[in-house]
Amino acid sequence: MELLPLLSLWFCSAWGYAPLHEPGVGGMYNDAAFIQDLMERINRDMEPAEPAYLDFGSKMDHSGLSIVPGRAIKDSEFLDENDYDTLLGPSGHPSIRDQEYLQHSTLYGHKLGAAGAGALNVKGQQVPTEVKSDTVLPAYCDPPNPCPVGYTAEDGCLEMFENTAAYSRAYQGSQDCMCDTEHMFDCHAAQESDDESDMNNLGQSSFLADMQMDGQHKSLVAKKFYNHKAPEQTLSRLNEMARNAAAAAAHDSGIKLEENPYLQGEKLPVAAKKGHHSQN
Amino acid sequence: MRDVWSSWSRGIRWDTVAVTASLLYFFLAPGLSAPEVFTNSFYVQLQDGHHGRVTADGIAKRNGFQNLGPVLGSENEFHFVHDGLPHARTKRSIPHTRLLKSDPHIKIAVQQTGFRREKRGYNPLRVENLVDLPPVLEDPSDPYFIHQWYLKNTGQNGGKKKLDLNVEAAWAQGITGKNVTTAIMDDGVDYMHPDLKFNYNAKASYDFSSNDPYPYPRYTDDWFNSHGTRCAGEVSAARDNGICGVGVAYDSKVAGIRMLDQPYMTDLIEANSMGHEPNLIDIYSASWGPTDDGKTVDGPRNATMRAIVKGVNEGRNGLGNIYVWASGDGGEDDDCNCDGYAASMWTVSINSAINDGQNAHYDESCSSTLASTFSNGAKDPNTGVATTDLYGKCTKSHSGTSAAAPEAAGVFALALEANNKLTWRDIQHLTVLTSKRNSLFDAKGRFHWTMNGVGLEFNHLFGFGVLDAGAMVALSKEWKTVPARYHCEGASMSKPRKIPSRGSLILKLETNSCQGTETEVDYLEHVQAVITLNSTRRGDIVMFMTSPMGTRSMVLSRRPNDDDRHDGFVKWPFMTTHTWGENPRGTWTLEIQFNGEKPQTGWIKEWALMLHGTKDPPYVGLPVTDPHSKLAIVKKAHEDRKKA
Repeated sequence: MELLPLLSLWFCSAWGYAPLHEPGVGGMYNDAAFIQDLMERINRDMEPAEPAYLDFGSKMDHSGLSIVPGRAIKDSEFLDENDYDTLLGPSGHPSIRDQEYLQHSTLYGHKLGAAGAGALNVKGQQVPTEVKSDTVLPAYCDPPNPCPVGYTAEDGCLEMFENTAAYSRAYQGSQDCMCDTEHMFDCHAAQESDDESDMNNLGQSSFLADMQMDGQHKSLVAKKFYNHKAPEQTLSRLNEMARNAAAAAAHDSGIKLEENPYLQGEKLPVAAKKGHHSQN
Repeated sequence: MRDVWSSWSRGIRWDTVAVTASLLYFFLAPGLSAPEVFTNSFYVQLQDGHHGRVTADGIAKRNGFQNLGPVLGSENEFHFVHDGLPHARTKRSIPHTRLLKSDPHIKIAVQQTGFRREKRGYNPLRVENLVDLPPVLEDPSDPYFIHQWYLKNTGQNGGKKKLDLNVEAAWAQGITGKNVTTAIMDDGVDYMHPDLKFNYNAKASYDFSSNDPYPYPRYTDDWFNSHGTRCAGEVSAARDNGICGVGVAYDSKVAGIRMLDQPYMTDLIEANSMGHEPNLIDIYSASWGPTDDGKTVDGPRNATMRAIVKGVNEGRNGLGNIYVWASGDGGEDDDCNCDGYAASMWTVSINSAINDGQNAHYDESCSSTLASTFSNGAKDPNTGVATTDLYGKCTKSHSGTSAAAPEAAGVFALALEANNKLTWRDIQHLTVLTSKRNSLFDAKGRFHWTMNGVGLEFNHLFGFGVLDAGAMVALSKEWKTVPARYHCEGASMSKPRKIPSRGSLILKLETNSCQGTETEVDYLEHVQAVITLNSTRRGDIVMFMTSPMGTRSMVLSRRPNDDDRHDGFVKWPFMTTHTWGENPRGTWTLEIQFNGEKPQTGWIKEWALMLHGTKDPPYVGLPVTDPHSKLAIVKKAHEDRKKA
């Protein structure tokens, strides 16, 4: 019972990718697309992409698990085994002796032992065992993509933009996406509300946000916010601008949301080390 | 002897030294025509018949001055300063001069002018952090600068004066981070923020959470995704633009990598983030890792690990990317050696101190921590980190060790501008040699400052101390890349041994550190104890490793919340930086014990000693100009060893 998922994990980790392995799901699916994608990104702007680099990793996995006691790991010996020269291509690398080796991470063994327990534990809760049959993990709404200095709409970003909470809220509000129950005060309202109640929510929740974020300047920040936002015309103009922008973005990117390739794979128990203020 | 070293290596600031130097200059080369800048220092000669330090102290005090001591050992010439005067101004302070002159016991009083001085030959007064006498600078005019005590601690909010990153000394050397890019791997960056937009490197940025090139943060009602923006401001908020504060490296570029903001983290996101544009990005700053719940043992997965290795081997066109890591917010019940990211040799793990020198209460410590910077935690809530905030705003309450990591990234950006040939290892060596004990201390008195075998002071909480930007920039300018690095498996044991319920299991390994082979390591950088063990309660295990030179590292502290009884540790690399510069040859000791409420049992199955470092002494080509610097001390230790 316990051996099978472990074996599959081991096998997969050797290929640089570990699949979902929640109870009841298990099994494997075609990794080739993921791997290809991954390697393309990793190899970008480096040496010419060498498919052989993949093999390096898989060989490393094995040697990582079989440190011969008392033996000095010579670089030359190591290279013979792994043929790193050929992996890097004819151009080679200027100082091979300075290479760092994956082997020194020696985390592969750990994964065999503990990944099962660790991966299920996200923020102290058990991840629901029900997993979408889709291989892509869920995502939240997409934030707006304003144009940085020197960029124009031709680069696929937003020129009509206002750097405010209200704008971002309206922009995201028009998307059909998963509500972030942890950090949105009222997911139901956000989905259902019409324009008018939306405006009220907008003022209220942003006000609350200001209170929460900037404890020492409650009144000051709140005042600033209202001064800035008070005319309802501005608000609806802003809403309209944001929603149009969101609609245009959705049109441009098509089904991009469902296709974010980076959201594939095992869920890792990783958390932001955000400060205590922002956690509370 | 050791105490003497420590008092020298801490708290030497360029301004103090500069004043002394300018006094000297006053005697040696008067009459230079230079733009006049007046300092708050006064040369005072006592009336005939009055002499001695005590007399001078009294005279200084009654006039509202402070006597810094005799000039050149003289009995009747002294150096007074007035704290009420700015460090530098363009007008002579006539009332102050008059006040001194009117004192019946004073014969001569002259306000000192500041000089610009060019670097030249040997100067006994010179310290590493004084390359040349910096031009006198004004403070940034940004409205939040006065709240940025981590940049310039004047004692605001009850902090300790001069306990800061000493960035002004770096800026005074003309180094502000130009042509260096730091990527903030976080929840996005408000790159439209007026304090950031002109320092934003759009080409090096990406949004992996939404898969597009624009890492603008996602709105939530609680403004949760303000973190990356706050971190970005610490590194490169613009100077003198009247907005918020100023970044450590205010002319550097910042890139945003949005990768924390999706319901789940994946190996692909991590790997792609850490391998994103490695030739455009110099420094990656990360403030995330395995959950800090005190019971998780986890690290980078396969693809991510490979991205890091590739980054240090090939990034920055072969010099290696710098990965800066927040050690963690797990508090004393966690150990960052259980966080495979922070414990990695390829990341610089940064812990935090608060504004009076204590460790922060949330600090998670471990022997792999290299150095410290500053964050919040004092009683006064206004002592958070002041920086930029979401939607063009500013904040004074950025917090956690995650606020500490970007400060370090900023300091490294300064070092890279000072010398753009520095490798990822050079940065670590520079960090070891220029970090300062300053006045950092463990408020609970558990961890003391200790000297390692080559005279480097370390503390389990703070690594080698707080970063000193001025010193790091100065040393970077004359740095010679360290010799080739080798990896040696020094020794190992794989016979299972029982860990006793009471008392300690002591294991010893003898190593010749691959002597006579191609991977001989004679001067240590990182040491890893790769350990496989299991027990009835993982969190109760405590481990210490002692080097042949007697340096004891706590490689695993008690984690009361870790009740694991199945997984234990499997080939887990416990890393220590404490033995930096030491000779690894000889007997290493591992001490394992249970420290918990109930008796437990366990077995250690494997201990392999991985030694990483150089065969050649690392600092041979570097000139020693200050005999009391850490560089001088380590170099001498290495030379003595060669002779022996």
